Amino acid sequence: MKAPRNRFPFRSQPGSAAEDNGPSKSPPPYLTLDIDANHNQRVVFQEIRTRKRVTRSELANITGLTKPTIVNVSRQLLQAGLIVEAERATLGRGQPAWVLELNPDGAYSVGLNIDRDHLSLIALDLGGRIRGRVSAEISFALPDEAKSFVADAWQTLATRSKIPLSRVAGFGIAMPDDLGTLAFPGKPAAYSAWADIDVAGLFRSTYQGPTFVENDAVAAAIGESQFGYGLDAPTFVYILISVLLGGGIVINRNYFRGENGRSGEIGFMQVKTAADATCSLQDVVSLGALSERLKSHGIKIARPDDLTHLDGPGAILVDEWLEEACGYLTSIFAQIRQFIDPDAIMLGGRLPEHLLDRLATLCQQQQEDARSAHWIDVRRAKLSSDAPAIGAAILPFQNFLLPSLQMLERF
Amino acid sequence: MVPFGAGTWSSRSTMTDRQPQTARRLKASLSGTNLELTGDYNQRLVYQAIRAKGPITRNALTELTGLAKPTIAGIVKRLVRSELVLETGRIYGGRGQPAVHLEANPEGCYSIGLHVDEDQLSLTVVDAVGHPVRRSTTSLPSSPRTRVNEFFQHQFIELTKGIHRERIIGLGVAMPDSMSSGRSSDGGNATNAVGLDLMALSEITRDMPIYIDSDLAAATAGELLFGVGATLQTFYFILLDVRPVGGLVMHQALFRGAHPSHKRFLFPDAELTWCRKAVAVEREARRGHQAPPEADESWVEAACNDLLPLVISINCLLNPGGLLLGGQFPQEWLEVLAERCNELLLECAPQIPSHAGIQTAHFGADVTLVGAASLPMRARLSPIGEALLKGHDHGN
Repeated sequence: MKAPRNRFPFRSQPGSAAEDNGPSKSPPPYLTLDIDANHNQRVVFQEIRTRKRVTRSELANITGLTKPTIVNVSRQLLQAGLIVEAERATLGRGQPAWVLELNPDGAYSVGLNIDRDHLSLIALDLGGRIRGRVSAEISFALPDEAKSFVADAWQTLATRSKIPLSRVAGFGIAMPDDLGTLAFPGKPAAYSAWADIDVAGLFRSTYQGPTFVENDAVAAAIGESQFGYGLDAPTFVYILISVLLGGGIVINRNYFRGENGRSGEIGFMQVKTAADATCSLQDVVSLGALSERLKSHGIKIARPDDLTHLDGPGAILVDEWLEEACGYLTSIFAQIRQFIDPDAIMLGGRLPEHLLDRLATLCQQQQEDARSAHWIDVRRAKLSSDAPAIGAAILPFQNFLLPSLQMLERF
Repeated sequence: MVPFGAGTWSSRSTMTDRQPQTARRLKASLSGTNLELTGDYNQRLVYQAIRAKGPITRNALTELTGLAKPTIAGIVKRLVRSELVLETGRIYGGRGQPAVHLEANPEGCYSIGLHVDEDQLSLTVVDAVGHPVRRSTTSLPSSPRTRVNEFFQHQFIELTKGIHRERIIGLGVAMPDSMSSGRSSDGGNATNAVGLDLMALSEITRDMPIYIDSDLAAATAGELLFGVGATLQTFYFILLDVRPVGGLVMHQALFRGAHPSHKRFLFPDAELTWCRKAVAVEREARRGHQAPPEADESWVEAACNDLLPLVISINCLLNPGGLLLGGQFPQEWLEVLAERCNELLLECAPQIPSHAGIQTAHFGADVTLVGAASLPMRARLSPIGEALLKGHDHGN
């Protein structure tokens, strides 16, 4: 049983990794969002953010909160600098109303993606725009390498993007589960250092504020749900095609975690190969599987971008792989439809965008050819290539500012 | 008598379009919370806590729910006055005033469940803590409308004898997805859509609210309230029948998916002989009031062969806290099946990240019938999310 807690008002979410900065009197060296982020504030902020321009009376109608509550909450949001009051709407009679808008510069966040083939760090504003990006193609970066990468990249971001680092609300880290333990071709022995390291603590010398660690596919799915197509598709499954294959499930705009956080392990789902053998999906559909196949034909891929510049035999191999991947994915999609029935399936990850697009088109095509009675919308995610890093950066926003069903969960 | 506001749920006029409305509401972003609704929600929460954890003291309730002491005191007072909750044994030995313990009163309220199956009808009365106190079944009503009504009228009067009318909080009707799925599309005409004369039903039950849902939704509601589901945050429920269906249960409700009207059979392409056989054996045993024969090895093998791939996929995809098997199979067959699936899952797929335990539903073969009866309980007494949401639509 979880610890008892108050139903209202809520502050941060249960199970959040937010660091408590204790009762110290001097202000912390990082931005603290100076609002009492209870449920109603989160709901109002979310409506302002997603509806772009909205008046206070519209907010009252949408949320069902009383007008005085809306006035109060919007004042707190204005004071915190999270929203701005824009020009008056001049429709209809009487005193025109002020329009409320999101202030993209109200807060920033930094996201890090650690994977077996690269490290990338991005700075994101409250509007979901990437304000700076630093990336390094390093195979099997060890914790110390990651630490010095982040220290350098953080400085680069600060100078290049010109965002005031004092307004960084938090730091999110996205990385695959079992990074140190899962057997993988070419994995050096030292890489198992990731298995028992305090990842959040590793970057403490660079940033002391609230830090969140999340699975890469989960972060990507959360990012997509708040800043991508998730606004139109309340329930979707995100498939992250990177070195391996991961997945994240969003149900009714909330991340579905499962019993112990291992939901969406789509890479482990079983498929039948042409030789009638059973294997895991990620053994055949992943960037790793594709580059292995190319390698066995003497074509070396150093970075995902190289896939875009292939010609002749390389391009043919990629085409073949896409066809096969589509076949495997279609069988998995049938099960996803059966067990979850989402509005859409989003494809994202380090596989280059044009290949994700072709894969999505092939999957759609296959469904049309099969005249499937229950058609599923398959598309490339809006946040696809840097999705884990962007999703990681969204974690602090999610935790401090956005509403969540988790807050309403039973004891 | 029952102090809970039934809200939009008991209104007759909105009854048939209740389901799509709910689905829409949950999809819209969360509404804010106003006090009148949370009052009701908190009351539901406290009642649920007492039923699940009782006997329990007021102090323990305060800790468990996080509500303020005066709030608890007020709610408990109302619950005790309405006899939904009983004050039981005081514990002596400590210092000061001994604490009073609270418990759900089994006779505090009753609910009636009607299970409409393709070839049989069952009716049950369930008490406030989920015990089916009475039940009856009739098979093969040739003309649905008249037989349903005759059977229902006769049995309804028979089963509710001696139970105070005001204590019956509602009638829940469960029917297979295929029979109820037409409902949302053709909207208004409830009678035709469900093959059951609702007007006649409501004349018999008079002012009692009626809640209709699919057999899967009913079964999961029953398990959530009174069965194994009460202890799980998430589970996947497999309702075994001639054509098994399944669904994910989370946030205390069956997740209906993006297309609630689609039938989601576990084996969409085929009708399986092992399913048909088990259902037939169970029916036969019930009719003859005798124990069903043991499941033979070939049956278990066939069933596991078909179920295991699904169980692996469900584990990878959903990581549920448990996998429940229920439905109109002989209880022993369900148990054998669950046990064998558990063994095979660990043996055949050791590499997958999570292995949820497969277990039989608490109500086994009666899961849908007791589930039907728990629909009114759920709608009127449980702290469900809908009780928190504002009663208007967000459009589309």
